[in-house]
This record gives sequence, structure tokens and C-alpha cells, in this order.
Amino acid sequence: MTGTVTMRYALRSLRRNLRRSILSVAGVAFGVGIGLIALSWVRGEETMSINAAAAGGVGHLRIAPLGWNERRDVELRIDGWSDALARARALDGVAVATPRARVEGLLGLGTRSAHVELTGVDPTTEQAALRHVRALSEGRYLAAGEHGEIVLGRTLARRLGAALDDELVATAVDATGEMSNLLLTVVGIAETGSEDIDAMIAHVALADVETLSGRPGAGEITILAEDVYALEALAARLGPLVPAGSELLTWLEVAPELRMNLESDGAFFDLAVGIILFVVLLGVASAQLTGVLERRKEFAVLAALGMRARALVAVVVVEGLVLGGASALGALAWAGPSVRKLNVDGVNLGALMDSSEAGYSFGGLLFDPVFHPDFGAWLVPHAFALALTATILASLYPAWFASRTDPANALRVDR
Amino acid sequence: MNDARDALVVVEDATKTFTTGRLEVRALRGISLEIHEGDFLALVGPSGSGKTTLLNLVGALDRPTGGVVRVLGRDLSTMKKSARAELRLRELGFVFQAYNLVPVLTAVENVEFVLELQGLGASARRSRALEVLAELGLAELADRRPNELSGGQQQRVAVARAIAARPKLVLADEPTANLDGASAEQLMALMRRLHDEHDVTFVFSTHDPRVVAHATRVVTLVDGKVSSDVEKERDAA
Repeated sequence: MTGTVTMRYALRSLRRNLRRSILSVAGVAFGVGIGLIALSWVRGEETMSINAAAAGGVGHLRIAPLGWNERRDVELRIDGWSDALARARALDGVAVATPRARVEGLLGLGTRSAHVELTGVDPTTEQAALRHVRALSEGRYLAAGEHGEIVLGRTLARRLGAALDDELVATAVDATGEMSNLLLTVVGIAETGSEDIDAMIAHVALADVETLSGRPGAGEITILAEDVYALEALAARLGPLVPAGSELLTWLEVAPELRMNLESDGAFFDLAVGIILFVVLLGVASAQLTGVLERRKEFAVLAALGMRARALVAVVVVEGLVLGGASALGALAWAGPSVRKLNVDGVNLGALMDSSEAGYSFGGLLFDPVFHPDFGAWLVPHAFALALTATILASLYPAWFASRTDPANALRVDR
Repeated sequence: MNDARDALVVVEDATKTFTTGRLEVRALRGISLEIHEGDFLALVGPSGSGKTTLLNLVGALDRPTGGVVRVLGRDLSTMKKSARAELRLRELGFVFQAYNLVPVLTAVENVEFVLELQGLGASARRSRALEVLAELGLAELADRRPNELSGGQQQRVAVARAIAARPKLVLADEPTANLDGASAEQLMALMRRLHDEHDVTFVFSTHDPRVVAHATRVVTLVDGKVSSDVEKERDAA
């Protein structure tokens, strides 16, 4: 920019056709506002997914044996798991670290049986890590130091016809290939509201899974962070504590279907916002080009006086920047309160999804039926970034056109 | 025409052809001319004779199709667009028939604009612009926009803009064409004063015999060629 007179020229030029400038600002403000709402939706969805994953047993981070994430082989165990667990629990920023081991088998009661994945847990930390078993509809959760007890999900209990104090027979194939059995007493029944999830809950003590499977130790250590926005830093500090033969996984790696869902939603919103902004951009470019064409003679005079092409470009781009700034404020003025309202009131997805009062399940996770788009200070920089990008891009062709002005036109008289 | 004074502009056998579709228009057909320091030169001739095209070349606004045009010793045909812009900015001033002031800027801002493009600081350019406007009797109109000025006042502001950067040569294309008789006389008197007191070289195209009367040299163009080039005594003002 060449200085204040040039700046004044650019600013006053916008006032020359005030209606056109206002319409341009309104167009960009509308497009950017839609973009902000879409972004708040995507960010809200991400937050909701993190929370659902964290409380749904996936955790924020997970230590697992190498190869587990590819094969999901429940027979794998972490070497040195108890040391790793102790180190993780001692780390600042870790809210909960809980071990689990799994074994596939059959649960039988009388003439009924069901194929299950028994989850061996540490009763002292599991309820803090898994929302599904935090409050049971009947009975109690497993107690520390006790063996031979089981907590079932409501659906599974119904399939087996099991009630509290019933004794179930668990059968599995152990590490040697032999059948192993264990008698388990039902001490609690969990009911999340999701049939799918309630069909999967079969919690026993970690030691019982070790007995049934013939494989000692834990197959995973699930970690919840105190601050979900500091996950990367926590992962960096946890990394060196992971024992050899194991790896640290993030919630997105553990729940790939959730990641794909987020990515596809994000891509859809990006595309939709991109199309809206592109249409808006074309409109602004058209308006700016008209403004340049109207001033062709004026630009020719400026070029004749010695104004260089880049200074002419700067004039048009400054006009674009001013339009962009005003558009960003306009977008914040209408979309900000809208996003705020959506954030506070939430959007009830219950009507769209097959869900119960407790929520709807996806990928083995329970999501709240009321979804809260994100609202925060991030709206301001995003509004300016979107609006300025759109208006600067829209200015480029008119600016190039202005820079091509033939100064000889200055001496031609329009008759 | 030979002259012992320094030649600011040398035009040698210059031609200029415009092509529109299949149509070729030969606006200049081999013009040779020198413009010297101190000239107060009138370019005259009928419409279509090539006056504006020649001013475009002398003002480094355009390049010749053939021949050579040297402005302040620099050959236009070898100069890039940006170098020609720099030459215009530093060494040349322009006054246009339709005034061509920037409508959204005040009189003083119009004058300042060129000084700003030259890189002058804010206070220096403001004081210089006000000084020039005052010299041209426009001090009280400094804060008015062009639409608040008469035609004659606008053209005087345009002259102020042209001379503010102290150019070596000022080119004026039919500067009085849109002015009434009295305003035209005032403008020519002003240009003469600037020429006489500040040694500004003026080249202007005109159809107006009253304007030609002020010139000390008259070049007549006919059909893209110089038909006469005459030094003359200035008529009494």
C-alpha cells in the first residue's frame, strides 16, 4: 500500500456505490455465517465424539500390544502391564488409567446360552472409565478383591433369563487349547438405554479372565485425560512409558469407524461450505469487477500519472479487505447469536436417530440424543479468515484487470 | 527543426498503427520532431490528425509501432511498462481535457496523490500540495471535492496536480476544450506564468485559436504527419 491517500481512495470508492458494497457485504456475511454454523456443528460433533469415546470405554488414549489395533485379537497381552499401569496412574494429567483383559466364550444359564466377550476389569477404576456401568439398574458393581462375580447388560441378562444372584457358567478355550469353566454369580445388571450396548456388557474381575483364558495380565490400559484439549501433550509424555511390544493409541485409532464418520461429516460440511463460499465469491468478484470497469477511465488516469500496476492491485485488494472485514463482522452479528442459541439449547437428534432417552449408539458408543454445536472465541478468527479469504480471492481477477489498464485511455475522451 | 537548447523529447520517423479486427488505422505516418526545454508548444490539426496519439507517445503512455521516441534520453521502445510508469511519475505531468480528477478525493488530496506515489512523507506532501494550490489561487478550495468545483477550478487543480511533482515536461490534451472563454484565458495565463516563472516546458494539443495565440511554437499535424513547425512570437495576453 502506498499510503494514506491511496487508502482513503480505496475506502471512499466503496462508498461511491454504497448499495453494491452493502449487498456484497451481505452476501459474504451470509456465506461466512453459514460456514460458521457448519464449523460449530463439526466441532460440536467432534467434542461429542471425544466425550462419547472417552466415557464409552475407548478412553482418550490406550496402551495396547503391538498388532492389536490391526487384528483386534483379544488374546494379546501387554508385557509388564502392571508397571505401565502404575506409571500411567502416576502421571500428571491422567484422570483414570484402568486395565482390561478380554476372552471370548459362552455364558450359560440352564438351557440358555449366549456368545459373549467377557471383559476382565479392575473394579476400583472401571466405573470411572466407563459410563455404561456407572449406575446400575439392579444390584451393585464388582468389588475389589472379589472373584466369581459378573455384571451383565440388561439385553444380555434378558437373553439368558438371568437375574441377580443367578449362577452362570462361563466357558472358554484357554491358551493351551483346553476348555475352561468358571462359575459366576450375577451381582449387577446395567441398563444404558441402548439395546446394542446392553447386549455387550459382561464384566468380571481381571483375575477371572486370566483364569478362563489361561493368559495372565491385561490386554489394554485405557486412559482418560484430565484435559481433552491437552491430549497431544499427554500422549507425548506417555509415549516413553509404554513397555516394549506395546504401543500408545489415540481414541481415533481405537475407534476408526468414529474417525471415518467424523471425516465424512467434516468433508460433507467442507464441501457444502466451499460451494456456498464459491458462489458468494463469484458474486463479490462480479460486483468488484463492475466497480473496476466503472472506474476504468479513473484507473487509466492514475496509471498515466505514474501509479504502478501493483499499486492499482493494492487499491482493489484493500477494497476487498474492507469488504471482508465488514462481512466478517456481519457474519458474527447474525451467526454468532444463532450458534450460541444452538449451543445452549442443543439440537435434539432423537427424532432423526433410532435412539432411546439415554441416547443413540454408534460403534459401540453411547451418544447423547441432544447435540450441542460448539460456541467460543474461535468464531471470531474463523469469521475473519473465511471472509477475508473469500473477498481477497474475489478481488484477484478484478485487481489483475485493473493492473492491465492502458494508461493511454486517460487521454481518450468518452463522448 | 534544429535548436541549440536541450531536447527533452526526440521523435524520429515515428509511426503508430492501431489494429481493430481487420481494420488497420495508421494514426502517425512517420513523424520527426524535437521538443526542447522551455518550449510552450501547441500541437494543432484537425480531428484525426494524430495529435492525441503523438501526445501519448511523448508522454510515454504508449510505444511507437515504428521509428524512435526518446523521452529525456530514454528510448520508449526498450522500456518496460513499469519503467515508463516511473518516468511519467518522476518527470512528466499531465493535464487532461476532461480534468480527470479523482472524484472521491478533495482538491488537495488529488494533488497529494501524485506526491504520495513519488514516496513523499505525509507532512511534506501535504505542505507541498497546499503550497501549489495557493500559488494557483486555489487555497480556499483545497478541501472541496471535484463536484464542488467549477470546470475552470477543476482544470486549475489538474494543473496543480501536474506541476506539484516539479516535472520537466507537462503535457496537456485540449486543456481548454471544456472551459468557457474566460476560464480558458485564465488557464492559459496560468500555464504561461508557470512556463515563464518556473521554466516548465508545456506541450498542449488544441483546436482553439485563442489558445494557440499563447504558444511560442506551433506544430501542425495533418493525416499523421507534421505539416508545419513554426516558432512564433507570443501574442499579447
